[in-house]
Amino acid sequence: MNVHVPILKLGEVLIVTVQAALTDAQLIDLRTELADRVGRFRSKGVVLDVSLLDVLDSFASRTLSDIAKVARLRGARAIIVGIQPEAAFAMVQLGLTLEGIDTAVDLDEAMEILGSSQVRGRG
Amino acid sequence: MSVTDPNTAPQTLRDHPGMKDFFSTYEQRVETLNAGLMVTVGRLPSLDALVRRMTPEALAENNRLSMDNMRKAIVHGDWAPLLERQRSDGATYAAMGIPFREWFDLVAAFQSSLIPFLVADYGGKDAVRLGHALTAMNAYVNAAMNNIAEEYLKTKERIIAQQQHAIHELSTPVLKLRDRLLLVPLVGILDTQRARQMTEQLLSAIRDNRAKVVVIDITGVPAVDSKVANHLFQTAAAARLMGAQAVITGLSADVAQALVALGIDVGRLTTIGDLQGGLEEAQRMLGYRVVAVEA
Amino acid sequence: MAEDQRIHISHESDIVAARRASREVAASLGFSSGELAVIATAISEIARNIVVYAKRGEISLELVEKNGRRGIRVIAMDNGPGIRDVQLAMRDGYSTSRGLGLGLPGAQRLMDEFEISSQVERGTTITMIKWGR
Repeated sequence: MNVHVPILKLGEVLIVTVQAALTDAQLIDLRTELADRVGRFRSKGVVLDVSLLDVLDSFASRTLSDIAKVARLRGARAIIVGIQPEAAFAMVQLGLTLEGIDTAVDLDEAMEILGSSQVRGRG
Repeated sequence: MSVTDPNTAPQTLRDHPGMKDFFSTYEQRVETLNAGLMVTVGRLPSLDALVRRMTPEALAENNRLSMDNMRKAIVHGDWAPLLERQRSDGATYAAMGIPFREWFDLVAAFQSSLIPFLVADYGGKDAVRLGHALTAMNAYVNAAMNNIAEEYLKTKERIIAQQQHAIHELSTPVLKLRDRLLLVPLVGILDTQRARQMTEQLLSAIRDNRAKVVVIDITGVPAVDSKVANHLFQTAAAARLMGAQAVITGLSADVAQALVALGIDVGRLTTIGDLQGGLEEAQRMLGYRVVAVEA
Repeated sequence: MAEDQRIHISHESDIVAARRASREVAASLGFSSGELAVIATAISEIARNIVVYAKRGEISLELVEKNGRRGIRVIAMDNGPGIRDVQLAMRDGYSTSRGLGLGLPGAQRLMDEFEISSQVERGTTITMIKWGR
């Protein structure tokens, strides 16, 4: 399966940098591909970097949540990083709070969290 | 949406019987009139400063353009360039801080210097014709002043709004207390506009400082009602999206009770009674141990 | 000086185009970057509705003025299936985050003015305005 979004493997963590304007199909592919790789590599963590997205609407928010949940079902802790100030500002006005999904300010922070956390039983 | 087309002059102006006579006199005497007006400008400090900055060529070109626009309007019926130019002038004077009073004085000088010429040209022949020319002059000048004033005001209002924004920004500083810990000491009424501005500033600061904890102190906010509570919820939620935990301090027990009575779930926010306690807790959250040192 | 724009919506890539266009048109209105994102987000919701439900439509962006304030007016039009119960669709903003509903209450929350008219089998028109300084 050809995934246009690069998935980086850094030890036990998979890192995805989400590009702007991914199509619906690409996002679904990404979810499938991540689920597959988390299982294959028994990854402890998945980091979704959205710092390139200027806007996160309800669709993007839903899809990111889905990806995070799927990763969790496969035993990995998912963290969304890099939500930009402007996007966060608009999201809360829309009522999108990504409840229950871990967030961090950037990749470094996410790696720190993943490095020090006990993954089993955590989400 | 404004109903009148800004590029068409009102009927009364276009069809005014004395308009062409007024223009004709002005056109023939323009050199003399301009010389007189330059003397007037000398007494108006801001306009004087503006004119001194222009080269003689630029000034001449400016006058030529004005005359052209007037001719297009009055003789050929195309008022658009003239009206557009007036609006642009209005905006420029506002932006340059030229007091409207000076422009007003200049125009008044123009009128009083043109009247003798109108009388000379039409006075002897036909009182009605002179009357028309005089009222045409007044109508033209009034319309011009209206147009310029409107744009002047709009620009001033825009500038004031921008300045207010800047003042708000200065009055809600986001302070970096230590690595990854920010403090927002809110003082004064937190209305929607201010809340949004504070939130935007805070979120940018979270990114720039990689903050993990932000303490928002509302001790200085006089009236904490459901609207303020909502603003705080939204700010905390947005901070969370960026990976930062918001701690609200300065929410007195009384206010907390009042909010609960209003049905607001204050428990959704992390709150600590006083700022001191809040800062200590924030540092603990960041992994610092707060120890009293022997004096 | 920004010009008014008209964006044809028939594919999801048009959603991004509409968002980008809104930034261009709104640029001269003195909005903060957060407010520009808010406008783009509201447009994203509405544009996505067109793609998903009506298949094709159009979004127009214009600068408007009232009482000395300038703003951006967004008109989203389609000849799609229409909304049977507009009142229901406009209720409960949080339906967006759960994947239900059309995201309309959310868009309404984001913008200053919001109007919707819809007829079954005829189509839907949404008009929203955000005022600047």
